Amino acid sequence: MLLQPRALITWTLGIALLTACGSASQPLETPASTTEPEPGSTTIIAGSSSSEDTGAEQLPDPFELGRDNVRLLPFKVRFNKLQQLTGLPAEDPAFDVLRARRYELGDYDYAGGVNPDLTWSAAKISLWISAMLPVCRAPALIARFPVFPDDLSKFLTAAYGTAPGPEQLADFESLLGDANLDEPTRHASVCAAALTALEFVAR
Amino acid sequence: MNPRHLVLLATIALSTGCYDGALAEQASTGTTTTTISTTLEPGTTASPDESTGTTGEPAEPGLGELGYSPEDAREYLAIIAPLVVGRLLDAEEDNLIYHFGAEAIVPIVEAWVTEPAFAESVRMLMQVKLAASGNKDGVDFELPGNLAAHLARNDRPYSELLTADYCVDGAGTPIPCDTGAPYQAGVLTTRAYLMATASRFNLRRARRMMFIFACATYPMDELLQPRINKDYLIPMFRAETADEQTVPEAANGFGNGAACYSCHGQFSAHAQLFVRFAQDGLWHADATGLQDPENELGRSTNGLYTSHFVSPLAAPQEISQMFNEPVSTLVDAARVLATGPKFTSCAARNVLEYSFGMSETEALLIEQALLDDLAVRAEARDQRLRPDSTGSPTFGDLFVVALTHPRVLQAVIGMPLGDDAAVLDPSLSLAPAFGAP
Repeated sequence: MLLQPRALITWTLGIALLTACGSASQPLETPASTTEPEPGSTTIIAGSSSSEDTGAEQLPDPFELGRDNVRLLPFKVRFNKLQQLTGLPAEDPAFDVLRARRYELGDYDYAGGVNPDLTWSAAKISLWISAMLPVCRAPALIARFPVFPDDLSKFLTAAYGTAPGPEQLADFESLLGDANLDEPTRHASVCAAALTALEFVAR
Repeated sequence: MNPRHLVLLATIALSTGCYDGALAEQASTGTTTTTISTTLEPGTTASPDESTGTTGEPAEPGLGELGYSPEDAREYLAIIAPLVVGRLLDAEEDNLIYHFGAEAIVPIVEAWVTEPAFAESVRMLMQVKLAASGNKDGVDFELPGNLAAHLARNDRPYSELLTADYCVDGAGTPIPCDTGAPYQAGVLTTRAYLMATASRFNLRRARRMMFIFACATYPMDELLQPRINKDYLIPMFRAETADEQTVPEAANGFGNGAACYSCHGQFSAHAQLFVRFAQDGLWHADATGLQDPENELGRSTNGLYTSHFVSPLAAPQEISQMFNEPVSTLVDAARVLATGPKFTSCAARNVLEYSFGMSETEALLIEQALLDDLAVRAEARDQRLRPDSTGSPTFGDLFVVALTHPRVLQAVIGMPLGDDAAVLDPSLSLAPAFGAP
């Protein structure tokens, strides 16, 4: 059985809270930008100290992104990141599940009537995890990051683009400490959880 | 070391007048002959020459000078990299950010638009924008995306999306487009576009063309697109009020209500350009443009769509007008559209929309002044890089100016923090700080 570390749970809960969605089975649409600009975020300061000193123009943000909101990355972008992380080509068997279920995971084929889907739901998370397990068991990935926790920090850095903080590492260490899992299962579980976390699939 | 990074390092070094020992060591393994010995504390940024960039142009402040830190730069670039080049930042880019802070943003983005993955991102941009991908029943819905990727890969003007007299196959080779028309106008003359936007009276084909490439919606400014004389239109589109409607089927109004003429006076000019393209995207020389009496409103015979024009002589013709200029076919219309007043700023909007995963509705709210500024800067960059070109900005130009504009950074990661976050004129571009890219 695959365990979910705190990072994943926190992320899932975060999505649910963001969308104020009552049912986990309901698709969770990544929210559009609705947040008010943060104090100070809408002011361009000109000159050396403040705009009042110089009388320079203050301009608001030219568009609203809702910096605190989560946006799922398009499927192709997520797939590209996986290829970069593993060093494997798109047609590698490690991606068989991902390719086979890609339309359920948000990819598009306009000729076939399938539009891009940037919503994320419990069902999609579950499917994504099942698609990550073969990736995590791929010899190429294991060769690159053979032992957790020794290679965990390096793995997370490669996956997320930034070095993990102590809290992030602690999330995974609790999973690594589970004595009920054998080493390969533990490795795959941590890897799949990391690749399902917000830091990897969204921005 | 990757040659593009050598170029990138040299660009930074030349513009900042400094270099770090570690980077110099890396560069020495390559082919560069630049000798740079100045050291720099990690995370600090040296100022370029106070008065000029490397081309002698007035220097503008770099993002580091605006107060953005290396952490800001890393955060920002990490957000956009997956969408622009389909990956995370690599070790060399991290190294550049570490040493040059936010000053590294411009050269990194400039290097991105030369990567093969950039062309694939542009493909995705246009696939989604035009709702065209895949294959079905022998129709290649990849043609629009192929053309877009080809233009990005070869640094061809964005305007050739409309003006290319060829299509491109999956291998990147120019081929004839697939409609059978005796002319070609880029993505507009692909069956993919024509089938994806097929609708009665050719309304959707016209509407998407104007929305995607002119950021214009109906009714639009009469000065930009004068209305066709009411008497030339079929009766149902002449009505300006419910009382004026004489066609029972349209008595209840639809779309914009009873004020049909306000939109269709302009729709008529643009929809007419598609009158010979059937619902399957194929061109028919024998189109009549006349309503099929046995079919629903807006449908002509042979899978074609009805013209707005009442005259049986005018209805089958592709002759029309775009922005008050007479045009004989889509080719002419595409040329006028591509030189229209909002074409480049609209392209900039498409780039921002894609890069930040915005919906079309969200993108409508992007400040026009920013888009206009991006258009000016993209055209200036095009002129700087291709002084002999008679074209227009490329996808690369558009991405570089859009993703390095201080106000775009402001919108994405907020204002720079810290006591020394002295910010200059927010409309300033950064590229000239590095000289001609």
